[in-house]
Amino acid sequence: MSFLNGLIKDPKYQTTEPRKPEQVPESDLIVSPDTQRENRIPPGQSRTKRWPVLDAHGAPEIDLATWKFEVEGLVEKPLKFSLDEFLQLPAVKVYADFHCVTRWSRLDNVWTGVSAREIAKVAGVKPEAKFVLALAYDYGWTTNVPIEYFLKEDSLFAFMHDGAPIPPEHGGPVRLIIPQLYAWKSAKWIRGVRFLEHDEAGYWEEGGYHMRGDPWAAGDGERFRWS
Amino acid sequence: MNEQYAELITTFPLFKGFTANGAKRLLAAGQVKEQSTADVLLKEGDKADFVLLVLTGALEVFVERESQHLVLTEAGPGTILGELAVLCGIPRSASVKAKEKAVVLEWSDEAFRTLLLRDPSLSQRIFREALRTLIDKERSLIDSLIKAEGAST
Repeated sequence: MSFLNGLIKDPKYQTTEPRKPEQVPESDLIVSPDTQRENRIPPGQSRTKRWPVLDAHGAPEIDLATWKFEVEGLVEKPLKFSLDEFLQLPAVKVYADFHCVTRWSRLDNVWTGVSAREIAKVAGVKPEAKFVLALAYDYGWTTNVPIEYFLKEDSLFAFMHDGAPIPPEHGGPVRLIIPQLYAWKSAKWIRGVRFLEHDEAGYWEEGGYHMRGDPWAAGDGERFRWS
Repeated sequence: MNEQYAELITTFPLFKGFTANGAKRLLAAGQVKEQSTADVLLKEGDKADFVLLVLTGALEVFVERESQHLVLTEAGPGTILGELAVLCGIPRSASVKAKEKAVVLEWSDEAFRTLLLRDPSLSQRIFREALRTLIDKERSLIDSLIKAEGAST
């Protein structure tokens, strides 16, 4: 019975089959296009009903009173928000699947947060910016993302998952979500973004992980630069 | 010194795709050790509590049997040594000595396990490499059996 207890206690355990986007009872929902595929599991992936926790160094201690989010690099107007200010920004809801490079996929997630497009618009991203380096609170952790993925309609800085605040082990208070790339690009514990002209390898990318990381790329997805 | 070894590590096939910064993390997880010719780095039967990456020079993998010195293989830059015994939790299956002046990166078993646990890409590569080593050993065993069979008929 302890096995069952474990399942019941896990509020993120999915007990039902994944919904189709049109079955999600939310108004003004942005639907990630990959959720409309006939087969939502990318090559080499398996569905998990749980939400596994993976990170490089464990969850960092974050003081919400001094938390800040900064936008820097190739922008007309560098930005800096406190948590209160960030939560005042217009929010969007995104329905998306989540694909980890370690071969599990968690389908059927509703994220609430600030659209990445909105941040780019307010900061006035310069035309020469082609890449984004996401900066995180965990010991200088970073990840690089091509700007066209950052600017997808379904990319956002999320502070809620399925209607509840994102817990620290899953990257709260705010994490980046880029549904159309492998989940390591969806930086946990985000503290800012830097717009760049040239691509710059982030933490895992420095260890040979893919510079783009498209899970739907032909073959086995864009996981590593060595396979 | 570590800067120069970081660049070197990025040229090893096992670490393809690593940048110098990524390689610096591998260096920071262990200790760089310089070895003189004939230094013994691993001894058959010893407890396995570290893993080596050859950075420069050449090492010899050998066993002593009935007062005979049998060389099993040579290991050059980019080769990992001692990982099988650490992963399996068994004593060293062979000895290793420096054939010439060499530099190695030594990870404690704990540091090595942490590297693998944190980084699924790296663990996939190391396991592949370890399995390839085993397959090569099996092939050479088959070759020796064929030779022995040929000699006895």
